[in-house]
Amino acid sequence: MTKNTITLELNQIHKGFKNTSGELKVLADISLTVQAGEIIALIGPSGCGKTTLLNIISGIAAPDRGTLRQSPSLRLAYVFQEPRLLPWKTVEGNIRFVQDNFLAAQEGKEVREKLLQKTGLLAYKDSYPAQLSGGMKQRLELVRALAIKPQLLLMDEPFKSLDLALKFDLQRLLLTEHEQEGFALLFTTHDPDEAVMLADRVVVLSDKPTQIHQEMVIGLTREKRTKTNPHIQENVERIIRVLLERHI
Amino acid sequence: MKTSISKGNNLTRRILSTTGIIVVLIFWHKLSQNYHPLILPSPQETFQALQKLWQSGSLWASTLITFRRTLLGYSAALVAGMFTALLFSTCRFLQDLFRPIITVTQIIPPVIWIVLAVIWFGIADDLTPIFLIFIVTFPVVFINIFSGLESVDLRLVEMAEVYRCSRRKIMLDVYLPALVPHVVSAVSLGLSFAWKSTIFAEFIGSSSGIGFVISMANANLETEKLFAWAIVLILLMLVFEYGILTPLNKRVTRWKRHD
Repeated sequence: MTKNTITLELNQIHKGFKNTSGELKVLADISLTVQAGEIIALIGPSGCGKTTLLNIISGIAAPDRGTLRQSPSLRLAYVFQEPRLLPWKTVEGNIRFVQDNFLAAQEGKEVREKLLQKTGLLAYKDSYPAQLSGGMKQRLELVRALAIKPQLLLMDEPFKSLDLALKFDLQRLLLTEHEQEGFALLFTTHDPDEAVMLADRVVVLSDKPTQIHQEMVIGLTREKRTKTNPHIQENVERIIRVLLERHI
Repeated sequence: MKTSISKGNNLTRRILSTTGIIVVLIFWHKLSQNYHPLILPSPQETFQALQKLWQSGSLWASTLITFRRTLLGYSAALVAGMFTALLFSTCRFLQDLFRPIITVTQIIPPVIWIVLAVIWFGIADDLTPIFLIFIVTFPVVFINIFSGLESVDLRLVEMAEVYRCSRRKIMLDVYLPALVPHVVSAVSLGLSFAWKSTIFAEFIGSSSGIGFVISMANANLETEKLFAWAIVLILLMLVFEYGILTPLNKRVTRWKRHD
């Protein structure tokens, strides 16, 4: 898949939830296009509907209004905010549970073992989730998602509550895999640094009812992205300014 | 190191429980010397009664009858309980309509049911005990399975749907494993109820089975036979519990262990 092919197109998406005091409008008129191979960070205040947006894209929730265009054969993977692993399946079993729907047995095994090796989970492939630490479960979630060789990967605050070393390890793995496989990546975060260091484009969302407040294209190659780079610093400050201006 | 400590603990525990049984036997023996066998037969007399039961064939014959009835009544309760739980979990209307009736059925003491069963079915050989087992164990099975279905983590179902798992795969790999521990727990709880209910029903309203021979021993003042049957029942329950249900439970919940 080459760049400039549209992987996903959201057009004027609206979504609300019913509560005791009537209807709570969460998403109001969200339009977004995701190109193949593109990395997009969604950043915004807590509760602004970032997870709801990912749920709509993944098909878990339906929009009240608006359209979502994607190929029916789009191979989509989702790394949830809290690990959603089957407790009665081993590490390997959890990966195979989703992988068997997409890849042939032999290819699946090769991809699986390579990813388990890279994340240091190969020795634990016969362990159950209850026997893994929180960080290992998070790694397994990512391995499971990558193991289907997705075209679009959704990640909901994937690096939250991870220690620094593990966070950098996972980010490095993600970027290497992205470079090799060329999937589109849409992830949510609260961390402006993370957004600017990883994404090609940062989408800043407003508070509820949520709209896209600003989109920023980060025009640097990843090798040049260091925290001391003035362009990176400028973008981080811009995001912080926008977020604070909106009383977040 | 850890393993040798736990092995040591296990051994100590076994020695202690065996000692406990021996102490009770000695105490029973000493106590029985002060009373007439009609009031308290000695362990030796009880053992002889057990031997007689074995030799006469009555032990196996009565046990098989009771076992068959328990199996029949309990299987029916298990199937009906599971089916009703599945049906209610998919239909709120049926749940609201019949849930109170199931709760009431559970509250009614078994003695009321057995009296009613004798009135309705007479001292029937099979019908009265089977009816009692069914009516007593059905709510237990239903409640366990129903709560199991309610506790299935729907976030896992969502995950499976995102990754395009088929409906069949979701049933087999998400719902079923979540339900299995509840089914085993229902079987385990219900079976002990069922077993006791059969004997109770046979005692009051049947002309065969363990309950009936106990009632005969009671009528003929054969206390040592009562003791012998009590030991048979204890052994049977222990075999079920530790020979079948505990290993089964361990097997189906092995993923819950952290070590």
